[in-house]
Amino acid sequence: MSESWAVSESPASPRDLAWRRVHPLTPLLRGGFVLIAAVGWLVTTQAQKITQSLVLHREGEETPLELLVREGWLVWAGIALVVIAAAIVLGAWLSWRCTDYRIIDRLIETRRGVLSRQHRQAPLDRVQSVEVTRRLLARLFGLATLTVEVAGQGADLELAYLRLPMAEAARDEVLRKRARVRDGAAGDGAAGDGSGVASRSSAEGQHVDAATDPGAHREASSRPAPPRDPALARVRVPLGMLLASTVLATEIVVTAVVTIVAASALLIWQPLAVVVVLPGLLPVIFALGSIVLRRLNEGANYSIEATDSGLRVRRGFTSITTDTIGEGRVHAIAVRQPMLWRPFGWWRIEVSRVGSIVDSGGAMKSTTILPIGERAAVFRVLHQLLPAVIDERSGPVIDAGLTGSVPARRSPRASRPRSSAGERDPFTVSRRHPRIAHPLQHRRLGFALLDFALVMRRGRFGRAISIVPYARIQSASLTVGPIARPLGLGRFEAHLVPGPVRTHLGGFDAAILRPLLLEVRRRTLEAVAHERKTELADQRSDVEGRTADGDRTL
Amino acid sequence: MTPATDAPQPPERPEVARPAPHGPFDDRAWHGASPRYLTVVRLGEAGWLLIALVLTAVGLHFALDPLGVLGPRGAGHHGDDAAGGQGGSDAAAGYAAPWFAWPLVIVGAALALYCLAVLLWLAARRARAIGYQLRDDDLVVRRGVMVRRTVAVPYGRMQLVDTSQGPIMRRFDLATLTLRTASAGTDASIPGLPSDEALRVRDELARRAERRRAGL
Repeated sequence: MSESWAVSESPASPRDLAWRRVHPLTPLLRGGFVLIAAVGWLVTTQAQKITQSLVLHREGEETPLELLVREGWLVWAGIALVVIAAAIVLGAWLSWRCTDYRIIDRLIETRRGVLSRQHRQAPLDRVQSVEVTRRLLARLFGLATLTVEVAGQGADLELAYLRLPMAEAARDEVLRKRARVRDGAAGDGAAGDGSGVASRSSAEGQHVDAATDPGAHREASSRPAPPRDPALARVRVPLGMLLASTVLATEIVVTAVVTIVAASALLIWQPLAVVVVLPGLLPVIFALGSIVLRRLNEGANYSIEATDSGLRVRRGFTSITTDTIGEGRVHAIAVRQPMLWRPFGWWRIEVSRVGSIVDSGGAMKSTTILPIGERAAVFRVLHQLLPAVIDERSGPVIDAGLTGSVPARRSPRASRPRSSAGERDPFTVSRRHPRIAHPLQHRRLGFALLDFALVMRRGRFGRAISIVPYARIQSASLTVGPIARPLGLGRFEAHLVPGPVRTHLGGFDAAILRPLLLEVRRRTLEAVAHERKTELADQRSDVEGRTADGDRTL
Repeated sequence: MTPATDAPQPPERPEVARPAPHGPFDDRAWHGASPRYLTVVRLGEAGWLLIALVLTAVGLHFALDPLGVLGPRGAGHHGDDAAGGQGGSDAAAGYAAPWFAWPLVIVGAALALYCLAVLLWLAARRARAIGYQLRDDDLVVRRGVMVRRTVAVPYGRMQLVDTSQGPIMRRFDLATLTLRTASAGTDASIPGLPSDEALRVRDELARRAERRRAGL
């Protein structure tokens, strides 16, 4: 293997095999909110009462604290508090004693629970992404949560809480061992199943690749690092841009406009209604404000960085999350432009990837990779996600997908199912009843076949493209419904892991979709066969290998 | 397209599947559901029609009874499905069975029979439209008459294969084979296979998936 391996490879120390405990403050932090809420309740009721009597000169009802004082229960309450605190500390200690984890050669394991024990194991080569989260309360103590994501709903492993350096070390360890396991698996596969020739040749292909592509030789193993060009390495989101983009979200602007128009109409019609309208507006303002604040909080301090072990996305204001997305874990990419962003040329990138789509708290996980960016930033991030995405052939296609459309005046027969280089718009659009099926976006809705991915384009006012690597398509289907059939239309769908990316073409010329289904199927099978040969579920090496082989398809 | 070199041998039993003109995979023979599955879907359709008729009859009875069309309470014929939707406008017709009752019964029965015939015909077509091919590298499943759907699933993408049997299907020794991938959108199920064939196909799929397994 390469030098980088020799460096990172160290003999397994006894410490590596030992179970490690999480930070002792963990149970208190987990249960901390209850304690804080109880104390906070006592304090706020009392504070409310004081303000009431000061401002309104009104005696409120008796507060819990006063009740305790009046009944002489204060001592008892204190004793109870101490007992409860002792119980909590004991419970916390027990719970802490029972919570541990270890990262061994091929596995990561967690154990927790005093009475009902939970022992969770995950093979490292199935790890999809690793995330370090610093929640507000834990951050005060310098602690962090490590979330290891594997395929499957609700199957995440959560190591909470660790000191931040520990969490980061554990993350790096998981990533390093995962890469080693995968690398070992590829070697075993080559030795074991007699496909050694194929594996060797693909390895040679990578060496050739590394020699020709300056970006690839930094780590000439089967775990290629993204180029470390500083211009490409890091993408940040300026706060002003984020603020503007958050406020310019379509739903917020629409809600605000509708509310303002309705309120002013009401006021003109009946000026006295101001008594009702103004308090009525408060919830709306509050709701909009909380949405804006939440998005700001999520998107603040956003930065994306390419590292050896994948793309590292950092974001958050009160709670900082650092998400490391492993190589080839991105299954589909959507680049979107809401209507109101159009004048500014801003885009957003979202991805579908394997793993739970909700976090341990039940909230939807963020699928956004780039909350907002201009075209250059979009291309930089795309380049990190799929290195082969930007070359002289695919770059213009992506560009045409973002902003292009088929020229308005063309004879209906001019469009061919297969796009050729001579055409100005590389996308194939449906020419069958376009105005009926898609009155607005008929000049946009279409697809293009890249060497490694299917690109779909849609949207007249708000725009979007979906980039779907063939190697990630699970299955593909063609559906023709009773209304579409007489019109000669149909619906193509590429099935992928659940996520935000739309991967279908509906109301499209069925005569184009049939060959499309066959073509996508052929390329998917090719990609599957290639993956099998290299025994690597690794998007980057897949793409590079194909490119190095000289893609047979185009 | 790969040439049809290793097309599976057509089984001895009578094939139900017929090539549909819409399919892009019609270069090879489709395997289909068992002929017994036709009986099952026909029974199912007849059952649904029966339930619909009974519900209609009950509904009409309760709708028409207060209007007096059906005669004095408790007497005369109760709501037949054929009592007719126009009954409401003839509230003044009185207590005796109106003159148009019997023709309506006949028309209604004819309508029900016609519905049954159409439903059975559609069900049979739907059953015949089910087809699958174990191609070299992927499973192709075709379904539907009104909504025609063709899905191709590479063996390497299979996560698991289900076979399931309801009580009626078990009675007819049939099973449904469902193939799952990492995508929820993959809708590749083949209903109405004979149980032994379903098991055979399942094992074959598992074998091929194992050989062609690729990571997520």
